[in-house]
Amino acid sequence: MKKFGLLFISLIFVNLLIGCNQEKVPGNKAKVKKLKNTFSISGAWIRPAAKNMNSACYFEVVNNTSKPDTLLGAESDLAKTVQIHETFNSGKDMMGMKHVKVVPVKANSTVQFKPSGYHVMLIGLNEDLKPGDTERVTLKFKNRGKVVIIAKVKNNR
Amino acid sequence: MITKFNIFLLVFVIAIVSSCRNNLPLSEKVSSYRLIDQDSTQVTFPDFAKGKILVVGYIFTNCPDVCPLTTNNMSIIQEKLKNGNISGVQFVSISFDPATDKPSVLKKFAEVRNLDLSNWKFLTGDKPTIKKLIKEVGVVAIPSDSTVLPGGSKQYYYVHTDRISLMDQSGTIRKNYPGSKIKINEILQDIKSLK
Repeated sequence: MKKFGLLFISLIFVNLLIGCNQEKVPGNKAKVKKLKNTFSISGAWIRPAAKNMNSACYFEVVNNTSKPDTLLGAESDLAKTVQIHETFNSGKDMMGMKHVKVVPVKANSTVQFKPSGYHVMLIGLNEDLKPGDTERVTLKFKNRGKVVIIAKVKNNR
Repeated sequence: MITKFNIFLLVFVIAIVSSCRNNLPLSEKVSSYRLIDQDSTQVTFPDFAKGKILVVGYIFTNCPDVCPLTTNNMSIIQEKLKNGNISGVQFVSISFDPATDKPSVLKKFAEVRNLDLSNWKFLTGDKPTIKKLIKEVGVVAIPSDSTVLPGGSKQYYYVHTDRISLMDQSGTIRKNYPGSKIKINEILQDIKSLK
């Protein structure tokens, strides 16, 4: 009898949990709908680095539209030169970096600029970039034109 | 009487013991090198840290991606050890680009990242010494891509070994890890096994 009681309470508990999840679903759907047909840059951050040295800016390009675009370059007052670079592994843990002229952003795709991958390289910094600072970098897209992003300076993996 | 089960047991035990030994697979004694730290103080590497475990990263400060990742990983390891009250570990970052990485440059590189230099030295040296050192420890650094800055100066980037080394208290390399992708818990366990 006691076992039946416990089973009954467990079933109610499981039911409540499922109920909670069901309530969340319409909200999530609404969020997904909102994101459709948008083109956004998210999660921008920059590594700390000292004046005259180099740093890198990372972010995510989320293209939820049916139109492709191309990142043509970037500009910023933070550095003497700003270029798109890509880190590569040439085998046996040999890491290198190369200048990339453009980065295609396909329709309905996400392109990540992340450590050990694509990054906007800030070459010859005009000032120290310290953890906690907030900086601006302008991305130049073929179709969308210039997009200004705000990036936080932080140590990160 | 030797049964099949006993043979299996013996093989199993041998496999376990040898896998434990492979935790620290290397035993490469490193020669002494006269280097200079971020405060322009002469340091004999690795002798200056004799009796301590060494965590050594190889970097160049013009590197915006891989070397800062390695440095950040070393900072995380340092903090985890501090939080775990594990002492007797010395951190060292050695530049393989001595032409650019003078002591003042290394100091600035560390300062802007708020690194704790209480048990961390950034080392550089003259070109022949650095060349000999990185060859001995198996680090390769080849100048590759470059950028010409407004004003005409040229900046070189290296294709280089992504490396953090763990050295024991006698200055012997015991294990190498990919510096930018190191598994923090793995090296923490290896450090504990050297205590």
